[in-house]
Amino acid sequence: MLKGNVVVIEDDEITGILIKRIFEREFKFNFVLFRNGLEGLEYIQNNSPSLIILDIMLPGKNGFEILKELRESEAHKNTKIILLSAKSNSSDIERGFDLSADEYITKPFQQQEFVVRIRKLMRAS
Amino acid sequence: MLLLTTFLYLLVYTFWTRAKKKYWSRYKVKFRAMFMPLILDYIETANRQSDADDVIKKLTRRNEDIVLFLEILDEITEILNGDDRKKLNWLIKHALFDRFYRKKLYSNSVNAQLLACVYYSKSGYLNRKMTVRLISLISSRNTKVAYASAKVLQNSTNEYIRLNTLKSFFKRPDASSMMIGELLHLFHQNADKIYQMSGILLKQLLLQKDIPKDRKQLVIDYIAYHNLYEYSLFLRNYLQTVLYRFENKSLIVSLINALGELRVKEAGTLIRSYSTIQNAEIRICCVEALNQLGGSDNLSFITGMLLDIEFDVRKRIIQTLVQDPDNGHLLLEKFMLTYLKFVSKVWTSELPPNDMLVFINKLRSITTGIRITSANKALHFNPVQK
Repeated sequence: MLKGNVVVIEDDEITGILIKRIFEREFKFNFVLFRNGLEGLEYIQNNSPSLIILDIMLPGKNGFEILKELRESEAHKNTKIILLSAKSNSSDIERGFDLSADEYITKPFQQQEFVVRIRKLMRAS
Repeated sequence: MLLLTTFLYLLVYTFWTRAKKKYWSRYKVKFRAMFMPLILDYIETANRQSDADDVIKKLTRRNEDIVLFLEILDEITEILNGDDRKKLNWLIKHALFDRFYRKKLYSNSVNAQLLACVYYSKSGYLNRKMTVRLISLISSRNTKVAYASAKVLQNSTNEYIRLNTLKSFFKRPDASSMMIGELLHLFHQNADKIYQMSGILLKQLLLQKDIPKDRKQLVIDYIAYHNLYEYSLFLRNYLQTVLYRFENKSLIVSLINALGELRVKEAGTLIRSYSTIQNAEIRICCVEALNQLGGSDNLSFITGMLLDIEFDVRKRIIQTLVQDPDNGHLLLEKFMLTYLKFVSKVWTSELPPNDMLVFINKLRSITTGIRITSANKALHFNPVQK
């Protein structure tokens, strides 16, 4: 079972609960959830999570801005970051990968597929 | 006395409604806290449709509870798909909800009808008796009910019902473009692949004489937005049948835009013929469409339109040519060299006629336009100069 710390920044209540359940069931990750972009970013800057899951449309600071800021900092240049969003336009996906996201998962998703993608990403690191 | 009674009544009423609201919001939180884990556990463990009964058993038959429960299901449906969605559908299509909403569908209350339509458009369940009821609701005086019932009927497997629903709704003057757009999408998306591929679905709407032109425009915009190439030649032929009249202007603009966006090369000659129409909006969209079609012939043709009487048309042509990565700048240069020769003719002439002054002014406007757009391009590519 994979271990580590995961920070999820997601303002939707059900998505947050669902991801938490997936991590509790499938991985041995310490799970921290934030509903606000600014608060989440501040936490990440003071800690070193092994995985970050970011929604795009967030209060405070949006997912793209957070991703850009993290990639510019030396400490989080190589941290695994997944964008999770209902935005499924190719331009949004392209923007996410341009900003060096490791994965882009669109909602709606299948739980099993979500698990497989995280496992693959974490094993690659 | 009366004033005091009224005051007291309003005071009690205010507190009562506030307390009621507070109670329901607390109840909602509790309800979600109880049923959310139950539903998520069910998704993880369910293997067959009858497993849904275990969750439904825990639900009371109160209207509020049923609505709250379906609200949660609706939210989860937005997040999960695949097998998880299939399990959610077992819950949504449960007989309890069908019985509950069937009654509402036949009620006279607008709110009940709306709730029932929302439920059935999600569950996708539709039988013959319900279809008859929903068809009657399309002519409801309430726009929302008519729209919601038209949406449910788009789940029908009968193409004839789906098409006629759409036609009836299109004729309603109170239907908004958002409503029409969504119904069009459902109509196209739910159709059998064979109808989609043959490109006959939306043609039927465009060829109807009694459908308003603004609705037809939305159909054309939908075709262009979704790149439905199977309609390309039909749209070209359709444009040929639309005569230029003021009331047809918007329809023509939509058609030319669509032909450009779908890159219908065969429509080049037709679009060029529209570029001489005495309407700047049509000429501008001709410039854009010809540019989208591409090719040196179309670009040269656009360059020839540079002396257009309207500033906006000239501006659009210059922007198009400056932004063209291949030979737009060469065409501009050629144009300028050709017309610079004209300057000496003006110089030697003793008294230039009025139309010559107009011509000179146009040239001046064009050179200014080229200077501004070229400077923008230069700045865009060379940040040091910013």
